[in-house]
Amino acid sequence: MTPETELIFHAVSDLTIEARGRYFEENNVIASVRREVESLLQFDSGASGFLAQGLLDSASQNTEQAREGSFCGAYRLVRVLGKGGMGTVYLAERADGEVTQFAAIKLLRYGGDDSFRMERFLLERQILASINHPNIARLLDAGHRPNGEPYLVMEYVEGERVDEYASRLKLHDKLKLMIQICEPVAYAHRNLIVHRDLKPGNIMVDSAGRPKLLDFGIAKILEEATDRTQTLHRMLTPDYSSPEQFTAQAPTTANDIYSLGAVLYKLLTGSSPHAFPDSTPDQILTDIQMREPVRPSKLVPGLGGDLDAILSKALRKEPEERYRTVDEFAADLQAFLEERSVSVRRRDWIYRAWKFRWPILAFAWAVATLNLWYLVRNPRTKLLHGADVMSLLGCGGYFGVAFAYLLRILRRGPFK
Amino acid sequence: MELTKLLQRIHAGDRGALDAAIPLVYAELKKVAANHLRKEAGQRVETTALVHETYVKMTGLHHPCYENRTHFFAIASRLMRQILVDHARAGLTHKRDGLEIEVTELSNLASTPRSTLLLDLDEALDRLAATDPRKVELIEMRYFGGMTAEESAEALGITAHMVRRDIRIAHAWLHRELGQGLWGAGAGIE
Repeated sequence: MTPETELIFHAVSDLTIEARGRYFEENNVIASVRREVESLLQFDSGASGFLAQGLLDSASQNTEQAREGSFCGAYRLVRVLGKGGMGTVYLAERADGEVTQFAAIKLLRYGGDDSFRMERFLLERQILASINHPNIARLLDAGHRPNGEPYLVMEYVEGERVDEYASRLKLHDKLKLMIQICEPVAYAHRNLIVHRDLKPGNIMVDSAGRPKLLDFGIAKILEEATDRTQTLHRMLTPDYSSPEQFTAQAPTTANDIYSLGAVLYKLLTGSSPHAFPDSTPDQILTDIQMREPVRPSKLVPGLGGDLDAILSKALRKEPEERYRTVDEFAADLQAFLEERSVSVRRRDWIYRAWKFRWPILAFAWAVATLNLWYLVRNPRTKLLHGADVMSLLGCGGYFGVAFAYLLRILRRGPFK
Repeated sequence: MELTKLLQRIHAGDRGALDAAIPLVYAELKKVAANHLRKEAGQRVETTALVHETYVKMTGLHHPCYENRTHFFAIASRLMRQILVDHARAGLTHKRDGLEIEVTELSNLASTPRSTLLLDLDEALDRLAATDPRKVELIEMRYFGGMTAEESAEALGITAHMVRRDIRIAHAWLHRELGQGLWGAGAGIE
């Protein structure tokens, strides 16, 4: 590389092909240099990135790399800690010489012209500013960079992801940890904020063993109109998101209750309720909507039916069937720890009977039809003779379903 | 904390301190890499992580002095390249052991066995060093040490803008050197 080659390379690398041609001609670049520059340009992958990647990826990588070392107020960005659907989080250190302090700084992931993300981001800052809980990573500062990019400075939680941390714990300690995780979620709900992205990656455990909730990036204030929920789908993490979150329903606290259930499932069994090795997006959606997760006690033999029942209640497909509040969920976990009876166990069978009402009805109908056919074929058979067992079964099916229906009405009023 | 003192002296312009620091850093870096080799066979470790870990081990977290860190990373980057290349050579002559140490962002070259690629890269860097030693240093800092543009700029006493320009053209050049055999012409532009 001669200095001349380099100079011309940099002069033309960001130009279009036509503009490059013009540059070469106007500046009378000699043919050999021009060939060398053009040959190098063939292998130029932009301002960063060694290799061909998706355009978007390399674009975002560009910004990420360019940002490293730059400043947000008093903080200097050190390196990327993590990337989410909404933004990139950097480890930052305070660089104004006042004190030594690390922080986590979040910036939007792509350039600033995505007004939807921008709106969400500003909302996240507002949400974080309005909550204050020892188990939620604190907002330290917020501001705009000179180029107009907004940023938020959060407490840097030096610790471990909750699932990694919990993998070393005994069952009782896992449950205690989970109860602690419920506290900030319940707190947020009392403040009408739904987190909507609870997952192990967003729950860190610090060196003192305290869980801390991170990333309110897609959190929602409950009273707000639910417009562009659709757009959010791309940002959801399938393993821990509730079924209704994929169908653009208004966010409710039930979303978080499901996710808490999914997180607990992961802590107890080591996998998420719907482990998706290589499923297609459509498959994932169907699985979340239709398939019941494997009972945790099947995966971990010692767990016991009460925890199965608690998890099954938290992970119900129908939001209205889940625990009504995070506190109820936590209370059941507490009851389990203290070996009291949990609230869900008693009612679980009613739910199951109702859930399987159609197969039960179909079975009863089939039995009754067979019965009738038998009577027609053998008119002289007395009614309570060979077929009486069958009829009893048939009647039992009918009454079972009717009974379950009745209990549900008693419990929650008639169905919609 | 002998190293911290050495780094301070390097910052003050003491060449002797640099010569004294290199073997120290080399030994520790090797130890950290070997440790990962034993513990994490079959897993992927990034060079950046190794350098960071070594830094924390040698200086402790309580000395986040920016200049020291930069000098340390500058030294470690070069040594990391050496260690990786040695490792790749050993891996090619003997049986490959499980650990894959990844040079930051080189990970996408998965189709070529990493050891071969690394040795090719090493040779290409040597060729480049003959005419452009600074660019090689930058590539080392960026890819073997995980330093940011600003940090490398600081270490070399140039501006971050110059660093980015240098790295960009060095990329293209290396890409061309390695590229023809590995990805076919033009694979880098997509």
